[in-house]
Amino acid sequence: MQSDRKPRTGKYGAVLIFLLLGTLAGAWHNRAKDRGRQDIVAGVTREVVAPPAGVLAGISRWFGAQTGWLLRGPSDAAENRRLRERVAELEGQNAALQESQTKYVLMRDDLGFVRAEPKSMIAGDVIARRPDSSLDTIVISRGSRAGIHPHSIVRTRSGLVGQVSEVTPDTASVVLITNEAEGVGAMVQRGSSRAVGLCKGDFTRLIPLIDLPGDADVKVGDLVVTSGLGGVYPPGIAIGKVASIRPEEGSLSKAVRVRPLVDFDRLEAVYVLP
Amino acid sequence: MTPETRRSLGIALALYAAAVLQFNFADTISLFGARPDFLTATVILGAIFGDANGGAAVGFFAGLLYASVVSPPHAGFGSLIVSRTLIGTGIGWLESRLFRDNGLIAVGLVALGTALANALFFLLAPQPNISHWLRAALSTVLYNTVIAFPLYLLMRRLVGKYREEASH
Repeated sequence: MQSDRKPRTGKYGAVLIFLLLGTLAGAWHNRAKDRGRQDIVAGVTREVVAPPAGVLAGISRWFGAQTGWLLRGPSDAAENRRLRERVAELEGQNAALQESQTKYVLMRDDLGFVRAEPKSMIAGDVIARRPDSSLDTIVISRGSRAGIHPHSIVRTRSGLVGQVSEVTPDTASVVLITNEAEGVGAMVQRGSSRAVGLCKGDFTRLIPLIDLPGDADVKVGDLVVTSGLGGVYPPGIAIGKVASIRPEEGSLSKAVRVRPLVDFDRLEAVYVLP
Repeated sequence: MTPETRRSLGIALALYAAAVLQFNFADTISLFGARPDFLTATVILGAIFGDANGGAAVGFFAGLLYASVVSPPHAGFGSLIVSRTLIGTGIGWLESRLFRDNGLIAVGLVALGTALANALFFLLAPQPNISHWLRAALSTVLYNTVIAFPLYLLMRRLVGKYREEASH
């Protein structure tokens, strides 16, 4: 007697093929990432989605700029007043700092230090902001064609954003400093402190500053910058300000949390240090 | 063009639109940190109008799009694809045996499917911070449950009629 039922492997053949393809795509992706190469499959897929996403992001930004004042009118006016006062104050400080910088450079030249020329930065728009709840990543509109590569440093004018994890020709994926995968060598930028630690993300808005010496001189409001230790992040990029300090239970050290200067919820454009 | 082809094109269009939405608006429309997962919702709703093999295909491409968009910093690229493929297969398999297209069932399936997709992803690629992952997964399940019914109506409009034509 002949059976008209399909054999099981034939019936679910497509399922098996897609599962196999998924496994292979994952293995291929991990291999390419380990070797610091671009994953062609992921790259092509993202490049297919990126153009309309970029256009939509542009439209959304334009629309927000045109209509945002309707919702934020009174608070914007107050913020403008406050910012004008702050700009005037910072202009004064900036002039004094430029004078100090000039003297510092001249003294270094006199002492024979090699002068490091600042690298040019690549500007990029944010086209995807944290598309997944459990991963703090963004995607920007510039990639390897613009000279960006994995581990390039990403920042804004106000401070550090994160590090490039993957690139395609026209996009780059950036792991934010709030992600648990990121650890940034950090230093308290106060003349009498200079305490060194590690800003290690834990997916919250306040980044823990760990590995501080027990007697570290840290105060709420202190500016924390990259220390340059570890060799990944260049020194002197602002990370944030100390928001809270609590003694750690059963330890002499303190639990310090840093509020990033970058507002990750409103990130629209970034600069990449190639 | 056959109804089957039109249905496949409709689902492909829905997946592409879901990927663009995930790319652009998932964070903008987040509520208390919860973000929707448009692609997984589309896999489940697409599989409702198909079978196990069709669900596997939708799940595979949705997983590939999702993994490429979110770009997990640790391992997890393949796990995202495989978990979505399995969910698409499961929903497609169940649909051809037990379920008929019904709005309430679709909402329940989206909630259950999103939870299972996240659980499968965790099993295949364990995440270092379990409490953070759990919070994120649960909030996504809730968000997807809320958006499931309007998405179901859209999907039904887009591909449901071709399914009926194909079955006649």
